[in-house]
Amino acid sequence: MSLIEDKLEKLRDLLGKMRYVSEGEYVLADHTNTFREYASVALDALKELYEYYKAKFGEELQVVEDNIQMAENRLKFLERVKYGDVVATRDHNIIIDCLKSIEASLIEIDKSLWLASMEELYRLYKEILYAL
Amino acid sequence: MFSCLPAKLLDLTIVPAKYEVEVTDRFSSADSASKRPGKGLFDAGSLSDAKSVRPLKSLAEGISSADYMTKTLAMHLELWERPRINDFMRKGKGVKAFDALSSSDWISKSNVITCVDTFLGEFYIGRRPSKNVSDIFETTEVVAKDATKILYDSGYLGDVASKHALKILRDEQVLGDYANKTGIKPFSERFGLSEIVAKVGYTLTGEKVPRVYFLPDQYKYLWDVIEEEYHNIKVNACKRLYNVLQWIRRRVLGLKYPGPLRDAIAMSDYVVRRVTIARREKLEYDFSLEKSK
Repeated sequence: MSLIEDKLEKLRDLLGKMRYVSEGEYVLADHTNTFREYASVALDALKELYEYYKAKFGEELQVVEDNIQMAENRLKFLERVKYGDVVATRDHNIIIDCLKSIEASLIEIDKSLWLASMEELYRLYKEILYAL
Repeated sequence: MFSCLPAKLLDLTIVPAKYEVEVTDRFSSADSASKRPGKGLFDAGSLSDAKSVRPLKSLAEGISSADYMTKTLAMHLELWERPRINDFMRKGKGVKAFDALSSSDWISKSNVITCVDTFLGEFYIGRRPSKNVSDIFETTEVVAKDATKILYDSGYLGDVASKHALKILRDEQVLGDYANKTGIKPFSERFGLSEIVAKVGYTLTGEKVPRVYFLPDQYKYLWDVIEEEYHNIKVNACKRLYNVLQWIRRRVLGLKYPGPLRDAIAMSDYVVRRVTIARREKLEYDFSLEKSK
């Protein structure tokens, strides 16, 4: 479990670097690079979680795999920027695309976990009924 | 001695004889009138009203009042097929289509290759006259008509008399009687609708954040600006996603139940703005050509 913990620790560090901006402030290269790195690490964390999920429940979630694949493909087009680079639309779009894919994957895993817990409850309920 | 009479009188009278051969096979016809100066072969059955005038060789065959087929070999080729059709359909904006059914009387005179088809049931017609856009409808069957110079559709027609000279594209719907005479390119209208961009946005962890678009210079007024609000929404989303990752981790590992996942990460995309442009080209009828005839 150390892998996922390491990634979550790294995400915490990146969140500490993020700053809110207000009107009139400059768009820094560090803003885009931080988001890019966050999306990359969050995607790795999601993949780790999904591997744990598959190992525990023995089923594959197609939606999650599709979202992971899409996020990976999108991230390939986002490169690190430096001072003087033009802020392109892809710098914004790719980041929110990746974050949206990660969000959708997490929601799908949550649904599956909820269904699994309901099945477990139902199984326990039937065992209790038979015992009575 | 000379005689005023010829030596030999020969009186020969030729009486011309005329033979007319006519073969007619007709049964169960109430009213029928036909005129053919040349050779003709006609076979009609169960016709209520039928009239035809053909100058040269013709071959006509009519079967019942609802379904019949006429093939004419004259100076030009003509093929008419009209099966029973009970439905008619509307085509999209500005253009109408229909299907004919059980036309009782019709008279046609044409001097150019004409192809007219009517069909039964649910269908759509994709038309490709030459340079036109095909119209597509909801379909279970597909019929494509290719006409070199004339495409003619008629439906619910009682009596029809039409004369076509050259390029004609005409759609009529629900007509009782009409007579038409057209010249060269009588009317042409094209209508196109193109979508420039559909701007999509996300609901990212409960907050709406749009994607931004960079378009060519001619659509400069549609450019988006990355506002500071978008940056702050992304920061919020990153924080929430971190919490969700922690939450899922606890669920997967079977640790202490972390409580219900809040509805903050709603899944719903929305279209921020959709921009379409309509292009319409219209060529009016050239009356000078008609008057000059």
